[in-house]
Amino acid sequence: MLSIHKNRRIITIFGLLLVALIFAPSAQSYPYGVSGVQDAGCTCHGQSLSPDVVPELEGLPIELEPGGTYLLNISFTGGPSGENPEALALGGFHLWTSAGTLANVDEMVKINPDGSATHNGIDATDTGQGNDQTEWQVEWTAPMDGGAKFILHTNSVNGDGTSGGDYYNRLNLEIGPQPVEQARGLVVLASAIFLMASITFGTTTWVFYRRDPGAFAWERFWPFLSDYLTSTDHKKVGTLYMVNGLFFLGVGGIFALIFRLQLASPGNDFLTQDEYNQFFTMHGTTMIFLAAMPMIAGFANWIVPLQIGAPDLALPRMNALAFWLNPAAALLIFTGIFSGQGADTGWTGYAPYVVSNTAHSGATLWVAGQILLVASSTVAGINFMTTFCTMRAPGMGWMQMPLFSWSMLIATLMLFISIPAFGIGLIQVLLDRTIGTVFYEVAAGGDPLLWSHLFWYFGHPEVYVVVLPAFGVISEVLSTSARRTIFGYKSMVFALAGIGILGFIVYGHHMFTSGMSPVLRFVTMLTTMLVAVPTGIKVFNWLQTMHGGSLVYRTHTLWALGFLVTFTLGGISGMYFPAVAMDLHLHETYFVVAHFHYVFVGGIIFGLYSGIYYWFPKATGRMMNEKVGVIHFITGFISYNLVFWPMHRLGIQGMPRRQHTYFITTDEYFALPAEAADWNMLITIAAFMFFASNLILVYNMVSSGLRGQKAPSDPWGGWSMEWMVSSPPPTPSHNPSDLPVQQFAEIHDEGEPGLFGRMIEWMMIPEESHGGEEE
Amino acid sequence: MEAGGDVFHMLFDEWNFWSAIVMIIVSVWLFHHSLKYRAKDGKSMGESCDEFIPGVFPKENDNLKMELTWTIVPFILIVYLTYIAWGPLDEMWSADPDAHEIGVTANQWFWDFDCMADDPEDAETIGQQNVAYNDDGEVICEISTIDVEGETKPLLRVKAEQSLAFIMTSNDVTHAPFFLDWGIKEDTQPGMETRLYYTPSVDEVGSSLLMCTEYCGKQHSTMTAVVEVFA
Ligand code: HEM
Ligand SMILES: [Cu+2]
Ligand SMILES: [Cu+2]
Repeated sequence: MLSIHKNRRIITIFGLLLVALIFAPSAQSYPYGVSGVQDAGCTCHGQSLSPDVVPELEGLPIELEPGGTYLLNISFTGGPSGENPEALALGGFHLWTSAGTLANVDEMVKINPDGSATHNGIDATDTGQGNDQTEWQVEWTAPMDGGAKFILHTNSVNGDGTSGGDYYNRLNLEIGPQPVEQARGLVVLASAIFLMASITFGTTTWVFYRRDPGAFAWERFWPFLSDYLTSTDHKKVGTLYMVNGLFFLGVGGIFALIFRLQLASPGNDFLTQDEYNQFFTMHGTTMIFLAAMPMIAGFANWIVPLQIGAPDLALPRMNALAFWLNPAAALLIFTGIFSGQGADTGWTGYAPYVVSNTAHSGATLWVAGQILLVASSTVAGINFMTTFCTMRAPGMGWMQMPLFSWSMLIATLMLFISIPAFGIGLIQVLLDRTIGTVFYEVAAGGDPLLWSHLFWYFGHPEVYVVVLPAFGVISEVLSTSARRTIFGYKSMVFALAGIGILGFIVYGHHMFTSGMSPVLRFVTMLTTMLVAVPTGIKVFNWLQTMHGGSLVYRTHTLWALGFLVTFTLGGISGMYFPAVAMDLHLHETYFVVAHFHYVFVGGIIFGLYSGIYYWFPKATGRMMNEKVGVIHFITGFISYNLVFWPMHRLGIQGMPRRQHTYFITTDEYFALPAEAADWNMLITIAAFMFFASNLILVYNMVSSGLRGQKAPSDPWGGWSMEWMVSSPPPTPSHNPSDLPVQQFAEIHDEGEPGLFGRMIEWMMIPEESHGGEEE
Repeated sequence: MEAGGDVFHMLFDEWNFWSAIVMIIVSVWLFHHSLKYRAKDGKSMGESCDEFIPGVFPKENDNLKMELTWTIVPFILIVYLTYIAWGPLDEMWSADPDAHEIGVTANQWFWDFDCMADDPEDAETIGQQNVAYNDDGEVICEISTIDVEGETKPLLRVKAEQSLAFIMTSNDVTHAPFFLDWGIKEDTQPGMETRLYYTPSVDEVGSSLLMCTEYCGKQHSTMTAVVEVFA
């Protein structure tokens, strides 16, 4: 009975969605792409297309003169126009061009805010206006280089004052050199995704096959897969997050390789400017939102409940929802490329560019995809905060939480507080791009800096959100490997919290050159300098943790030590920017690119790799191959530094980021130093090596996961609660009727709950019986 | 000419010095500890090792004095660096009333310069000016074009030792002129006026590159110009 009701509800919902889709305005605001308002001609009357109406566009030259001005004649014949002697109107037109500018010569024509031209006069009684014509004139100024496309719609009107019986037709014209490579972006992206998809599919089936080669049958493949796809268990969702993250790390890496090829030699034209812009945008977006964030969520899913002694996360279904928003978002983010119009805004998507009509139409769906990611992060944030507040094992106070859990708690809080600003900004941009609101339209009074403020209010905390969990991993790994309690547990927590608070008041350092008020610039210069203090505390505490210990060299130890080197370098180069006078030179150069890759790759990715080697035995019940791991570390660490270290130098020499090429010309002053070409070549070669070294990790994970030695429950001798359960852990992860109780090596004073703990208890609705989770 | 102005190089050298010191401390510490305190046979435990038992919060390991040291010492260094970085700000941000104003208008994807009228208050004389003179009748600002490898680029010529104020805006989206050899840049925003102040010295006589360093769309990377300082 129940299921019938359920089905009916689902059918109704889908039916409603379908109806809504049919009537909803198209998501396309420019007349290229899948379907758009513009397809129907001028918006006032555009019901029916008729081949009888013949639009004409005259006045275009054979050979375009750059910047030249041409008088265009627009006319049409045929259709119902003129048949009715008492006609109130004769016809209309709409002319759109991809390049150059249109201007009106008389009042018959007006120029729309998006640069297209249309006839003047809208109502039925305005005799003598632009809609009483079948011929119009506009002036077009050709672009400085390249050709242009025109889309002309003409409307043949019977003049009965309604739009019934009117017919339109459409004319496409091209002039001058057209970009020939329109589809190449598509091909390359499709190949990148296809490649990664086949690798993922291949590994999945291989894993499936090797689990039990004797009992292999394709019929069992789907149950094996659907078990993962429909699970709400934190471990399985964690695995999905990890696979998703590594997949997009690969996709983003391939993007990087492609545009590195372009930069390998000066003045290269492997990619067009247009393609280059899409690739670095997609690279940045993919790496941050589709690779780093999901990988962190993967770790958090896997480890947090195990580590704080909880059977699962507090809201397992919400958890699955948060994950499944990701693939959908990824699809939206990439969709634009399939029409040759991928987002080309940079990962920061600065307004007013992002709402201007020079930005690609793919930016619309790119924004929509990111809105889904905002939703995903919000849902996940609620889930994790609830879990931390309510599900710590009995006896585990706030100040006894393992440091990885602490780092996740602070990261979640930061994300939760900062992401609404981003969400609001994105929704405004989406509205601007689709239904014509003017939040970012400067001509209509929009603030040109609004987006930058909203974005960086989120963006700076965001970079801490991704780096803090890596800090957590390093704290765990170093302490376990050195067999020493982490040095200064309390100051580690306070440093995390300090970074969490400072992280919100420093974002202005991204806007030192934006024209923001000097007072704000000065204040954020001071606060940014201050961030070095808690970060320094962490680094020195890590170093001191090794003191008196007995460091065991495992692959995860190597990555952790490597992290200490590269992250410190990244932190130090970060200190160059708050000095505003220096930032004026360094801003938007490769020095910045070098800096944030030292933090992103040398910090986050290395930290997460360390975490993979560290927790892999726990997750799969098998040890990873140490020999292969060491090869991965050595090749990865060396090639990584070869990629990013020379970028510092390029930046100081003035090579700007986000630029499709750089100049080494015979006019000495119009060029970077000649050595820049060699450095760039080296970087490109090393980038391929770095990419290849990561395949070693994938190989190691798959082969060790299948054939590795069986892992004991506590292979490295760690103390936190994930090492209490078997490897791989049972489901539920900790037995809910027999939860572990936190023990202490030293007598500790009953300071718990502290102020923070009491505050949270005060905020929570009192429960009837203690520990009674929802079933 | 080298990229980056005097202020940049002064600060840069100072920062490099302190960075090297910090990095040396960290590396020596890292290598010393990770080698000295390693488990020689991969197994044995030193006597000061902590015993880890899953589910048992380990013995504390801290030392308030040390932790305070590496809170306070870096803090002092930061204060010192902030103090140094502060100085040039006044110079960079304070308007010189005698500065000659030069208009910079960014467009997708080219630069428009304007030497501006002698008296910007006088609306009559405002309009694109290709040349401007000082009180002695010497040329202080001149705008023309130059051929670079077959492409025509805008050329802005300014007189050395002449204090300049760039009054900048944009006609469409955000751009940012980057005066490579002077090491300065600032965004141009539509509907907003931003400013840059600079006085090229006689040492800076010669030509250099001006690039766009705020992403502005398709032809962002070719949005260049040439700036020449003459004595
Ligand atoms: C194979 C490894 C990688 C290489 C060779 C690489 C290379 C580059 C280069 C050369 C740029 C500058 C592009 C330009 O400004 O024209 C860039 C931008 C960027 N990269 Fe990477 N990268 C790699 C991995 C990563 C990872 C792992 C992350 C983050 C977790 C990342 C995040 C970013 C971001 C956010 C940008 C800025 C994009 C923008 O300007 O909008 N990259 N990368
Ligand atoms: Cu920041
Ligand atoms: Cu520009």
